[in-house]
Amino acid sequence: MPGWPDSDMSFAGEKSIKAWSSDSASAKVCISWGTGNKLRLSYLHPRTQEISSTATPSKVVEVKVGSVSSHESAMRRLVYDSLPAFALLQNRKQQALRQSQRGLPSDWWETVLQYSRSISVVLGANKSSSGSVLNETSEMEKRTLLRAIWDLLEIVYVDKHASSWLTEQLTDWLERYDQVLSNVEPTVNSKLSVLKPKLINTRFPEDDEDYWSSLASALSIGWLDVVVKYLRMHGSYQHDQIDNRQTENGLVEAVAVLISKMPRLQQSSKTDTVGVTYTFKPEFSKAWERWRNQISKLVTSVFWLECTHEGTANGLKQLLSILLGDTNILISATTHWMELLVSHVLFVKPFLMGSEGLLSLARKCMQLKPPIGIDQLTELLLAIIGENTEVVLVECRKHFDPWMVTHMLELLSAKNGQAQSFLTEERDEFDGLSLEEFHRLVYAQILSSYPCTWQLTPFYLASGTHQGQGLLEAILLMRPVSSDSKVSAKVLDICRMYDLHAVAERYKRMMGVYYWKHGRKGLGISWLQCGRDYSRLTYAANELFTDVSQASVGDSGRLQELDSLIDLLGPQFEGFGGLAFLHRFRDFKGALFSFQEGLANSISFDKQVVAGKTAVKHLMQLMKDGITADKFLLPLLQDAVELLNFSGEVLVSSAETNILLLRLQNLTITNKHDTVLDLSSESVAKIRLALGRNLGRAILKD
Amino acid sequence: MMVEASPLLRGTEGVPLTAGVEVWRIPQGGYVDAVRWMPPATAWHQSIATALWDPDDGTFKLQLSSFSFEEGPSIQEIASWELPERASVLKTLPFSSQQAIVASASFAGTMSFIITKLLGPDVVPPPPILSSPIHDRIITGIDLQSDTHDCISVGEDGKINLTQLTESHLSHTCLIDNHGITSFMDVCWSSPAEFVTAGLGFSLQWWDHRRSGGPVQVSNKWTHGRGGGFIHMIDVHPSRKHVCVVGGSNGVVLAWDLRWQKEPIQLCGISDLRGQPVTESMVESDVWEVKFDPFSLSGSSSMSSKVPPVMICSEDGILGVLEAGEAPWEILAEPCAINTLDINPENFTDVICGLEFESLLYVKRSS
Amino acid sequence: MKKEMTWLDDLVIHTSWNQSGVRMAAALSDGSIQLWDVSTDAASTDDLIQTAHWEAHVGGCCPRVAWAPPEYGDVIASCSAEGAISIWEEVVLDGMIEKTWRQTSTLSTAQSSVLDIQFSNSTSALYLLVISADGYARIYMLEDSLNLMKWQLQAEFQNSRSPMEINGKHRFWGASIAWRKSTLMNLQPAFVVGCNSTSHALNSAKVWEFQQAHQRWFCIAELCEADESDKPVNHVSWAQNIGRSHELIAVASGDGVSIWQLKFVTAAENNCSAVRIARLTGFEGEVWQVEWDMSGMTLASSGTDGVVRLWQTNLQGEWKQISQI
Repeated sequence: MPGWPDSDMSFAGEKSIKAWSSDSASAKVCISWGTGNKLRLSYLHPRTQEISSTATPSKVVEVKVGSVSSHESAMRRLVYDSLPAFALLQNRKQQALRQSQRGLPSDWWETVLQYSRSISVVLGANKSSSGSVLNETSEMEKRTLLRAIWDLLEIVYVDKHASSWLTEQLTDWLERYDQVLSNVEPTVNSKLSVLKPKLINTRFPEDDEDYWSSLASALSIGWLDVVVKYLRMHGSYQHDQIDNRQTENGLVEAVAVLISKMPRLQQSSKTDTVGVTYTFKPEFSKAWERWRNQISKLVTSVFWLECTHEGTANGLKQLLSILLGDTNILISATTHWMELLVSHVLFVKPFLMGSEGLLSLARKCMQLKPPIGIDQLTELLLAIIGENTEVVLVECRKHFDPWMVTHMLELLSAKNGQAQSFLTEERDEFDGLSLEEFHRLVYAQILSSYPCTWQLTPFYLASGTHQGQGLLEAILLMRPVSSDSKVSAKVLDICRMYDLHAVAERYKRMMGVYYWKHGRKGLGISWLQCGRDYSRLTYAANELFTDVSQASVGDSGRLQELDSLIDLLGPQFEGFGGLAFLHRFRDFKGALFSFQEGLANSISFDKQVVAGKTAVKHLMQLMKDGITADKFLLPLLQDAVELLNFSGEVLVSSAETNILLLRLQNLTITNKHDTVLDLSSESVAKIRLALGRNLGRAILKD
Repeated sequence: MMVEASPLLRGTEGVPLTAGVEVWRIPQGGYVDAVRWMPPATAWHQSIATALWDPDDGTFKLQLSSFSFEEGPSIQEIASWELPERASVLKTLPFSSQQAIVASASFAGTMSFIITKLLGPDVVPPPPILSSPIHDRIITGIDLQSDTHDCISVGEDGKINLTQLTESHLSHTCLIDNHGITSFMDVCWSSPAEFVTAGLGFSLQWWDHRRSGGPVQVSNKWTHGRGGGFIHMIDVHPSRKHVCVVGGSNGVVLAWDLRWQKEPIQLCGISDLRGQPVTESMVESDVWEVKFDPFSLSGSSSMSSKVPPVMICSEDGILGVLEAGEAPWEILAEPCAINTLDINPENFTDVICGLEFESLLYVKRSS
Repeated sequence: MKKEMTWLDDLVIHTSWNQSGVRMAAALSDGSIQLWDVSTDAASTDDLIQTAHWEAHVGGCCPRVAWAPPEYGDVIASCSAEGAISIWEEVVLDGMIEKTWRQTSTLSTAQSSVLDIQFSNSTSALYLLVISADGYARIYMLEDSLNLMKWQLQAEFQNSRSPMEINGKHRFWGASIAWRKSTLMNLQPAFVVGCNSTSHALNSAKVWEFQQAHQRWFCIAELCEADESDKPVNHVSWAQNIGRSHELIAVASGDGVSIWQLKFVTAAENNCSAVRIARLTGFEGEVWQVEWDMSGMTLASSGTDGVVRLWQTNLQGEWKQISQI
């Protein structure tokens, strides 16, 4: 039989060892999951009889599954800072959904835009906070990359207005994030940073080919201000050069002016941008034509013949070709296909609106400038540009941690109805979970693995109609008992906020039992009371009673200690068996104690009688049906003997004596064979005698 | 290391801050267990003491930082000490005109005292004077007596300890030990010999350490019907020693005037003294700190018959001021718990808080 | 991210973590138990600190330990090779400061070794399920929730739909139990049992549920497809239900893992339908253990090859191995 343990395995060893031979004799791994994504593995290499010592020692290892960030404090800062925006968005979403049956309003994207901007600020704020200074450049880069993707998602998926100003949006975006896009090639950024120190030391930068190629690169992706500034550092501007290089200088200046006159379609004129702003498209297209004509004229002008500096002539012509949208020049000027794409929308297709044409353009650019090596982001960038939500999700899951995935899902569904239903539809293969809820579960589970972030999980789980609440309950119930009152208060506050009463009671019970068993009786009782666990409270009260009843009369200290505990049990717990009893017993003992004290200190007779009568009153309370368990009756009656035998005055009336007699009788009848209650002893006889004598005295008095 | 604060970004929420209040967040590199103002050296030199827990490597430290304000607040570390255990309570007190005591108690029942110069950085930070465990596990409350510098401490173990501090060593006296049968959650001096404790079940005990045995007074009989719950924090009014206020579970804030042993005045809480639900309570979860607020003292509240206003902070993120017979003033509602607060003893307008999200919160009220 | 928490004695043959994952009990082959706590002490270099070590089963081997849910305190059950089961609880005795582990009771089962023990996690009552090498499963019930002294044998049965003659005929090498776990409070207690023995009928994993109306345990489903019918069951794991419409059970049978979906239909008498939704293969040798994470979204497995594999569903709902450790 394949895979079957050999049934003829020898029976030489003990039966027990045989039974365990399958997994105990050889090395094995014990798996246990902790909260969240913590996986604990025990690698066990047990010592066997044959081999006395093993080569590999046994060990316990903890693995945090799926956690990518090694920089935990920075991760927590991001988690904390992104929470208010997310929570606010969820509140608004719920409000909006309550107001309208037909789903989110058409201007919902504006709310998401606010959210997106706040998160983007959070992603950018990594320098100001002390603990989470991202001093490692790789971490910085990762964060910037995250923000780059976030902002691109915002342009494509959230900002409805962005499609009208797509060129500018993309140019701005590239300006901010060009440095993180490609890590292989020299980027425009790096080119410029090499050039900058050179310019200071060189009088004639135009002799250097790098000068022109850097300018071309910068121009191709729309960094007009840089290009204009650097052009004016051209050697022909030097005072001593002007005379000889007048034409050359004229051409340089002409190109600089043309660049700074470039028409731009923008929402509003920004002060720091070079170019002429148009907000109305027809005006823009007229201006564009005019501007292009001017460039064409300059290209064909005769002045070029007079320009003797070959480098300048070629360089300037290259710049003009870029302005005219010469694809070949653009390809050579740019390094990354994203740059090429931006150069295309800037100079080749300035009238491109919306994302329809953008994707095919992006594809074309990618063919023209294929990514060098493995560019992991290509797929993601293409998917975002093409608004291919499914691929965006898959790629984000691949490259980023669950923080990103959970938070960016809100962007995807801001205005794109298709994406909205893709993310929120209930999926059979996930047992009714939507992709949105699924990813929130994943994120919450990661948050729950850290000591400072588990309490944020409700913000991500409470809206989950299927499993969110269940996971939240599980997270709360896995919180260990802690003397940190902040932790327990947190658990209970979450329960209060989200109506998880059953969890709260279970948690309080857990706390109560822990303290009760660990030498903190009062705390234990307080917690059990909070948890309304009457069965455990009754048991606790019984145990307390045993304590109290064992404390001898003289041991007032012990009684006093327990006193505060019984006080704690509170009058509202009357009626719960042992607790009601304990209260009355305490009162009785207290009264009896002051009676005895009176005897010893020979206080006035009247006071003594009052004390005695109070004790009797409490004793009679204890004799009511169902208050006192049988096993406690005898010690009580023994205590009563002193009151019965008080010589000065009859403290116990005939009716009361009769009740006591009755209880004693019942006790002896029902517990005849009980060995615990020593009913045959002298003490019973003594009680009987005292009762009998008192009855006589009481009848006489009556 | 210099840490600048970022003003609260709150414009999006549409809930304007109370007029006349400015708020800044100062991110910290760890969880803020406690924060206190240091006694002022001069009016221009402010500093704070912070107990921090770093969840990454599980270390605890006590940090002294100078606090300055130009446009926004910024703090700069002056000195810091590694603590062997996590701090549960932190208190500061002037020791002399030049020095201050920073006392911290731990989850492991130990205490540490640092006597530090008030002005300028110490060349060598003074070593903390550490105690052996004087409580069994967590110390829940300590208070320093302003005249004698005596430190009284209470714990879950039901002990009350008096620690006397002389130049460089400590002497302990155990005043009460009830062997964990009841637990205390906080303690506060009311005079050089008297102090108040509280803990389980909303009761208050009034003690005199010159007398042996039990408490001088117990408030139980005044709080019938409350049942389960805890008091987390007590404050006794600095000049009117018979007035005290407590904060605890379920948003409960109670004030007592101990001259009249009548029922306490309830300032806040989700149910009243008889256990009946209260319709509107500013705070619904645990109140972590209560402090008499000299800033909010108005003309009417200075009447001696009235309990003065108190500032509170809570688990549900509320910072507010309560006064009997007045509408509560909700200064702030944070998305996370406000675990600790302290009012600047020199400048009552300034409040520093410790937030759950590893930050300090600086609140400036315009005078 | 991976970190070593501590080194262990080479006598350790089994480890078990408590519900909140901060304490670990280790069973040793010399019959003693070690207790380890996740360290909160900054000064310590180890993440796990041994806080107790005691002789649980003098002279014998302690093959298994199991934790009770925290509402009963810090409670573990241990068993000896001779079949004795001890219940231990951590307490601070009156007047003491230090915690101690005290034995509260001993349950003597059959005179054969215990294969697996597990506490239930239902709020209504605390059950302890024991399966021994005599082929019987026994269920003990705690009588008083705060007192761990008194246990009562509530049921005794074999893992088969009809009674079988076991004595001397079949031998058992292992068995595994998993209780139904749910955050929903008032569900009927249920568990799954599978065995590694010479009897196919006893081996296959079966789901048992307590039916209030009849006051006894019924086998409500058998988790076995034709292609695994001759494979012994090494381990079973029942995923915590955080709101799924069905239960998820993983069965490590032979050289593969089956994932079963269980739907409870409350009204009917035969009220449960079980479907195998995946069979995970590609292991080198036997699979010894399977464990669900807290949400039932990830399954971890370990086997003879010493490799720990993690399994998840992809966006299409298919179970795939996502990584190995």
